[in-house]
Amino acid sequence: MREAQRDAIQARREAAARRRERQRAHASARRETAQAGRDARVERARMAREVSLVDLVDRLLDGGVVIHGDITLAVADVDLLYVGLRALVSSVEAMEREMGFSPTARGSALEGSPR
Amino acid sequence: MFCLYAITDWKPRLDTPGHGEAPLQAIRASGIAAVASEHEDLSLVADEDALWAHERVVEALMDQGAVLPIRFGTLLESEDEVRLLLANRAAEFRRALDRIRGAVEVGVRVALRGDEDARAMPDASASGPGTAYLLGQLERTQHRGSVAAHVVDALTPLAREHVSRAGASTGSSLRSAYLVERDRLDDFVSRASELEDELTGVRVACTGPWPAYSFANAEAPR
Repeated sequence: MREAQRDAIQARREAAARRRERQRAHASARRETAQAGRDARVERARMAREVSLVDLVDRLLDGGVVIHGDITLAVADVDLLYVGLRALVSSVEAMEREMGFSPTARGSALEGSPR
Repeated sequence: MFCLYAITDWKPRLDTPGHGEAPLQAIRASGIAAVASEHEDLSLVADEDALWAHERVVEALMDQGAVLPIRFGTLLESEDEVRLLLANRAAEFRRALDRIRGAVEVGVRVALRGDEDARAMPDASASGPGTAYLLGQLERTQHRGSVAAHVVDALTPLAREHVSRAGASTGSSLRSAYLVERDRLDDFVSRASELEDELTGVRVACTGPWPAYSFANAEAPR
């Protein structure tokens, strides 16, 4: 009788241990999935931001109301920025071949603007 | 010295700081206002942080009403100079504000996938390599042209105006900007994403909504 009780307790302990193990495995899988989701989101956000940055530069330096004679930016700064951006954009593999981005064309366009 | 961000024809709420965390002020003349920040000495470099600082100011204003963004890095010496600018160009600025009122700018970037370009390359053995290269170029140009036309036809009915941006003809991507009514923004973006299914090997990316930088100059539409 006592032996049967011991066996039952032992069985319950083992079942509890298995349950805990399963929970640990589930939690770990959930964490991995969540992490993968986060990574993908971060990657997408990073890419969106880099593409946005190119569009931001296009707009802020080449668009907007022009007040003649008072743009104080040096063209050298602008060229450097574009070169930097091109490197940035090139690093995004998916965008690398797809984007026609020409810092020289933009640079010469900017030389013609008032500053 | 005053750094200028935007022009409005209503009373703006100014809770976003300008460059170097400087507070914003609205300088008024002729019924319009220039949003500016005052600086003892400001040397602006067009780096990422400075560009976003300018953009944040304009976006915060955009949420309140029609706003005419001023090009980054515009500095005027005194408040009087700012008032003089507003007075001299008031009519032009009002027209420009009317043009963009109720709308936002969406950047549309259409890229042909690299493999699609490679397929368009004819067999080099058929003729000389120079001819093949030129034929390939021609085909790519024609392909680009028809893709561009399809995109413009699909998107212009959903927009007030559109412009092709400078440099659009270089490289393999087409860059354009559309002026879209705020309440048609969702329709516009979903139409743009449908285009990827209609045109094989083409990638369509929208950015924004931006302040109407590409539609800000009433006298010279770009």
